[in-house]
Amino acid sequence: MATVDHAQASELFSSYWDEELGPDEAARLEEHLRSCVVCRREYEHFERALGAVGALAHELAPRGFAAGVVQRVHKRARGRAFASRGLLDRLPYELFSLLMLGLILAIYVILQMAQPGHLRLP
Amino acid sequence: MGASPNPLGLTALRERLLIRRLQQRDERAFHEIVRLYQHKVFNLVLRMIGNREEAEDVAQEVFVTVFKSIDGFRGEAKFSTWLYRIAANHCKNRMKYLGRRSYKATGELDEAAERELQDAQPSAMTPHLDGPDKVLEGMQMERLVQEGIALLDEEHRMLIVLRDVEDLSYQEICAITGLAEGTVKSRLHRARMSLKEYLAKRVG
Ligand SMILES: [Zn+2]
Repeated sequence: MATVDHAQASELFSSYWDEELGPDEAARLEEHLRSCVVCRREYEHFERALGAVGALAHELAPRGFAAGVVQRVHKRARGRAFASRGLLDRLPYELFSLLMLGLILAIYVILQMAQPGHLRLP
Repeated sequence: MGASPNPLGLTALRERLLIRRLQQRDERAFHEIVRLYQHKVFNLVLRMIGNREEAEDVAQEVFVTVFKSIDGFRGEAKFSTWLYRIAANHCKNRMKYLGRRSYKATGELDEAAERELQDAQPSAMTPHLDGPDKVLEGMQMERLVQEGIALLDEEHRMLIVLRDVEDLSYQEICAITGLAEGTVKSRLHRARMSLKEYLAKRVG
């Protein structure tokens, strides 16, 4: 059985870490790691680095992320991105425009009332 | 195989139904999909880009693209693979853009020099800490790892994040990156060795 030499050893680190070496090859690498201080130390660093990467916290998306995405889609498509829904499901723009119209009318009437001369018949 | 769960434990059948509704531009289905995958996508993008604000923006754009191109999803690949591919492309584009603006990926590190990985020396930038035991835990190690990842070139970074952070299979990584398995493995090995070098020099 051929041994793993010093130059080959570090090339096998990833496959060994991923448990993708055959049992023979894994045993040969382990054999080399037992006998070679340099490679053993290198593999310890390798293990520690990948352990630390795997231990990185899984960060959560910030609050309101999903709502933000939906809003973005709405904005880009000027409100025509999604299939139309019932009035209660979405922002009722029709209602807003009616309200605005009412408001303008009310202001007009109030202005007229403030100048009673305009309303008086000759 | 209607009952096989995806990485989120969602059954394939339920996922297919959601996607069909999304293809019909159903807002609730879209909201549901974003809600289901937001953390996976955000974490992936954050680990690639290294900056929260940018990561949130990029992750949102990923889902906007999902919405715009959902008709192109034919179900040959897993939905999560398709989604990750979109995320990977967005990350690449943003990193290029930020690179052009010589943006500093971690806010502290000069992104440019992967060279530094080869001859990393303890520096004022990252305080050298005596006991490895102390360093191995907690925030400082996490920061060092994030810095080490940020110093890798774009492709190496992507492979480390997909494999060692997100824990995806080689098969999935090939589908996401379009690289052959042998290429993924050899490049990932280089990336891991660079990161090992960087951390060993800093942690001891
Ligand atoms: Zn050796």
